[in-house]
Amino acid sequence: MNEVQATAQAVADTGFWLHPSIVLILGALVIPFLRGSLQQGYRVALALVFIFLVFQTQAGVYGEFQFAGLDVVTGRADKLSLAFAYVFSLITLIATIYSLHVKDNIQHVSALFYAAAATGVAFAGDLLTLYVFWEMMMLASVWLIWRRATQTAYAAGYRYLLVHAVSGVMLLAGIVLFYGESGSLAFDQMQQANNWAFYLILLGFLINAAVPPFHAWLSDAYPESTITGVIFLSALTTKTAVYTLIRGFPGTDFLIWLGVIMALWGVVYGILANDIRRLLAYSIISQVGYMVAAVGMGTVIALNGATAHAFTHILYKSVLFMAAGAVITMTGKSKLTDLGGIYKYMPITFLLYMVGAASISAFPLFSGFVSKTMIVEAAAVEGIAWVWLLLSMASAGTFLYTGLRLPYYAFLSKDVGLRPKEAPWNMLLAMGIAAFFCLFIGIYPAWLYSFMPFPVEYNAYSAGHLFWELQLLLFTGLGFFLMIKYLGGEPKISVDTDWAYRKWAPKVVIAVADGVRQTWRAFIGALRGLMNGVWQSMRRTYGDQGVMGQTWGIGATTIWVVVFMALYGLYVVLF
Amino acid sequence: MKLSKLGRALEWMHDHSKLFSGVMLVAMALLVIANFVFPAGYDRFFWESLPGAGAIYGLFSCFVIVVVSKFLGYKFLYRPEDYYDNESRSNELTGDPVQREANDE
Repeated sequence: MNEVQATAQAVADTGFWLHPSIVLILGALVIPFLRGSLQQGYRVALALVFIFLVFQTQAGVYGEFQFAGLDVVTGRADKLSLAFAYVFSLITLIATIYSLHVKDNIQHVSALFYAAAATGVAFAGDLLTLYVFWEMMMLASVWLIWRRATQTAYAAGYRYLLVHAVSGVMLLAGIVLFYGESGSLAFDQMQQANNWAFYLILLGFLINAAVPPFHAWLSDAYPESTITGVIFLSALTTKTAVYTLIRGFPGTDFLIWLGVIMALWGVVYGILANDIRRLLAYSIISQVGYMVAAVGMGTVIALNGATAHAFTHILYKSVLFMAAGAVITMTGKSKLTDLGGIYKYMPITFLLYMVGAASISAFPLFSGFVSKTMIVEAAAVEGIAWVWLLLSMASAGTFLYTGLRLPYYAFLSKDVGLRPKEAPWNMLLAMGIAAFFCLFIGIYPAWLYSFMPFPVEYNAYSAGHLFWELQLLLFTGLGFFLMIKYLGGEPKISVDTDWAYRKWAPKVVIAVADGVRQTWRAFIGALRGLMNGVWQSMRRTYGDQGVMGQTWGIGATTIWVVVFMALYGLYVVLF
Repeated sequence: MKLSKLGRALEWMHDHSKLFSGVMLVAMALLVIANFVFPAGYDRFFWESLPGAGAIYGLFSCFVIVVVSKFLGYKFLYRPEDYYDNESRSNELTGDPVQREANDE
């Protein structure tokens, strides 16, 4: 890492740099004023300008200034941040094309703000800038969920917002402590000596990276988001978190095991899921698990692997989500139990999905193979056998549910009578571009490797890797067909850690509220009983029937008056 | 509905899936045999130099994943689809609390 930063410093360029995010944000603000094909053309042109600006960016440090005694560095570009910015800009174009038919200015503007913020995080030179873009990402992205305009999307969006607000608060608290201790806002590798700051910032990043048990926001919200918005969502939030982890926390040992747990967690829920986009959401968690584990290893090959896998992941995952979105758009169904037999009506979508599926499963000649095997290889170099075996198992699982289960039950299997048309041209074009990159990277990995933060001395296509991966995957396929009758969709949902705040916490809140109210009512009741007792006893004495409250007849009164006056007379006379 | 050329080609493949799975099985057998002839070239873990280890581990992984996942699903995780439907109803904390307590009892 230091070497990279040194190069960045060496070419430190105080010259003018047009921050691509600023251009994208300003450009997005124009969108609502345009209509029809003019707006469509403008959106594509804007995405192209964004790509151009990102690819034009030279390594260096930009926009340094003093503000209220703080050294602010708004821009820093080195190989690591550029690798992420490149793929963020590519996906912005792909997702824009995919959503070309959508007429919803709020979605268009917020999606581009979101992409700009994610790129801003990648280019952030200090923690303050990082934090600003971090929060902007959250505020922009939630609209991509809410604009689905269903009751569930609305609720899921709120939960998404709340979880990310917690992440933001952790990050901010960590930054404040970090500044207090070190007097610096620089965002480099964190030193564990700054204990609280270290763990708070790490926690903020881990929540956004969807690391269990803080991952449920992802599998909760993404399947409820808009068909086109999820392409941005699946690409940006978790991958910016991976970027910040690579930058700030390489070699943090326990991340290895968190990553392995994450990879397998996604597999288990992917096998159980019935909603196709929920299945794919869990496969994001699983794949990001590889990256988190690689960050934990922290070696050169591992960090290259994490960066490479983030790059390829964004592209193949977008193909998968786009194909799933096309299926939902054309059939109106999103569950494995409702789908089937549509491959011949949507053959292009089906084949493009399979390209993405082969990539995520790491078949040779597809992009996942050249990046995922790098992370597994890093575990082999380190000699950590369990990590190696469990990540290999997660690879088999990935193929099992993303590459076999979903396409088999959604596209093939029995014909359920759906007769959808093929997806519209812009969806197919966007999928095609992303699928092209999946194949291109798989066949020519040197292109991808040239973006990596460290020089790559890794050959994915060795006999050992080919034999192992092909055997692993093909025999997993055999296992799938042997156990096929247990792998269909079931009309059920699976509870995850979001159960804690969706079921348990509301129950607790209601129980506490009822408890408090009942205690208060009991108290008031007891008080009223007491008051009533006093009232009753007063009534007994002074009331209508009471001794003191009775009215007497004139005669009796006269007698008593006479008696008392006589007694008084006696008193006066005698004493 | 009329199928596109590509759709018809895929349909043909689907209808002849027996043929394709046969070819696939032969290819898989050849792959394992090839692994015996050409060593993998790695020996960081003992299984890396065992021919056919990937095949065995693939089948084993598949079995473990399906069994463990389904066990967890049936035992702990599966819920009916309307499990979270309370969220799309209006908030339980609003409305007449006395009514709600009466409903609870």
